[in-house]
Amino acid sequence: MPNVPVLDFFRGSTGHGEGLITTGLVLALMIIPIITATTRDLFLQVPPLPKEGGEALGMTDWEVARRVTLPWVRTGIIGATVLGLGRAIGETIAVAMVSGSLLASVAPNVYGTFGTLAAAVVTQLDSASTDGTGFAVSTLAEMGLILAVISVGVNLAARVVIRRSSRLGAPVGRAA
Amino acid sequence: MSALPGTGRRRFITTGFRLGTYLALLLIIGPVVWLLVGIIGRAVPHFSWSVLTHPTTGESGGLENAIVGTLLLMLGVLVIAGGIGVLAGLHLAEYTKPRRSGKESGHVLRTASDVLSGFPSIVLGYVGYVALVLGLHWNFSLLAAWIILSIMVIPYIAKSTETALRQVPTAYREGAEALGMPDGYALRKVTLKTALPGIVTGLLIALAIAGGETAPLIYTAGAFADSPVSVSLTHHPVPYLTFLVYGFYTLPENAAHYLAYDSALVLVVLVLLLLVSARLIVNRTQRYAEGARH
Repeated sequence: MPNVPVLDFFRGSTGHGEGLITTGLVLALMIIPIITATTRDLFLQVPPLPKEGGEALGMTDWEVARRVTLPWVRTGIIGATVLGLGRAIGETIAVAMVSGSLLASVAPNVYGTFGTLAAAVVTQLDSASTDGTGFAVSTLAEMGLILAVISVGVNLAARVVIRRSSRLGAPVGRAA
Repeated sequence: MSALPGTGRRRFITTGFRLGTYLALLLIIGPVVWLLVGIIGRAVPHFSWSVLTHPTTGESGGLENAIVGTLLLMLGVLVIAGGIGVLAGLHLAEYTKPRRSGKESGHVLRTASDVLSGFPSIVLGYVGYVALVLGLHWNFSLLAAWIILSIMVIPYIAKSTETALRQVPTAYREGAEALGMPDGYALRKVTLKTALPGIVTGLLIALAIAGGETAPLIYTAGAFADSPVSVSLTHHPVPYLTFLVYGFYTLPENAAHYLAYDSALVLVVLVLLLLVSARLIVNRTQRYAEGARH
């Protein structure tokens, strides 16, 4: 990559790129497909008659989109975004690679390294099994339980919202 | 697209909206192209065909055992998850009523499928580690990896099978019943045959998903890049491509980095092959569907 000054915004003052903003960008790229697929299904289910009526009255496509389509799909879009959030929560390896995997810390600024539940489990399980009392493995089990409860809760809430406003239901995607 | 209005403000806003949608498209296509160019640009200079035929030794070598291991994992997922998922989708499509027709049945199966699809992959890997690898004393094994990967993709296969079966026109089913076919016979000869392309597409995409998984495999199939492939189901770790990408990028040797890039390239090619064949199957069979132009 060329060394243009604007990229220093992404590198931050620490010089290495691992941090909150990099992880945010990577996760945003990863959840785009599931949000796009869900909202495309939602847009395809808007009935054509009101849209054609709007066009017959002389509304442009922007005005039809804003005043006819958007009220139909508003709740569904919120559900689709929460579905993307659920997928980002379960993302493990990509976050472990770009977030710095700093245990038990909150990033002090947008370039700081931090840790997530999933990244902590995947990086610590190997060394946790060397603990003789078995306490470290149980701690990771607790973290996994909290992560599972949060992820399943977010996914179920998103699916309930989408199912109410869509005939096809939400697509089933996977977080890696 | 409707014509632009004549006056200023409406014209400006409509043009801005159209440009905005194209900009959003660019924001998606741009990073994908950048990713592909980055992977190909880093992998191709150090790629030779011997990478595909030599196994990984230590921290360099080739990818042969990893490729065979990934394909072996995908095969097991196809058999186990394909069988269970297609049967679950069949049940949801044929023996439960659809959502908006008054009484809905199949609540439990649908909710269970939704809950399972929301589980983070590392938690499934952890459960596999504690229950299968340590608890049943299988150690890192092929069977544990098959079970955990199948659990991960079963909701996807069930949902795509159900969608494919629901798209079979009712006229086909009614015609089969009018001809006096028994239920199971009609299911086999009419409904499943018509829905088969959709089911196969769902299976191919599920294989692509399973092939790209890392987190559950690290603790069920082992995290060793240089283990040889063996067909014994237990007590033998399985090499796979995604661990090479995750584990080798922090190693100091340059040969390890090149292997990681090559592994990423092979993964991208594999997933692209699966997705392109799924798309080809859909196009091929939609040519003769009702309402299609060919």
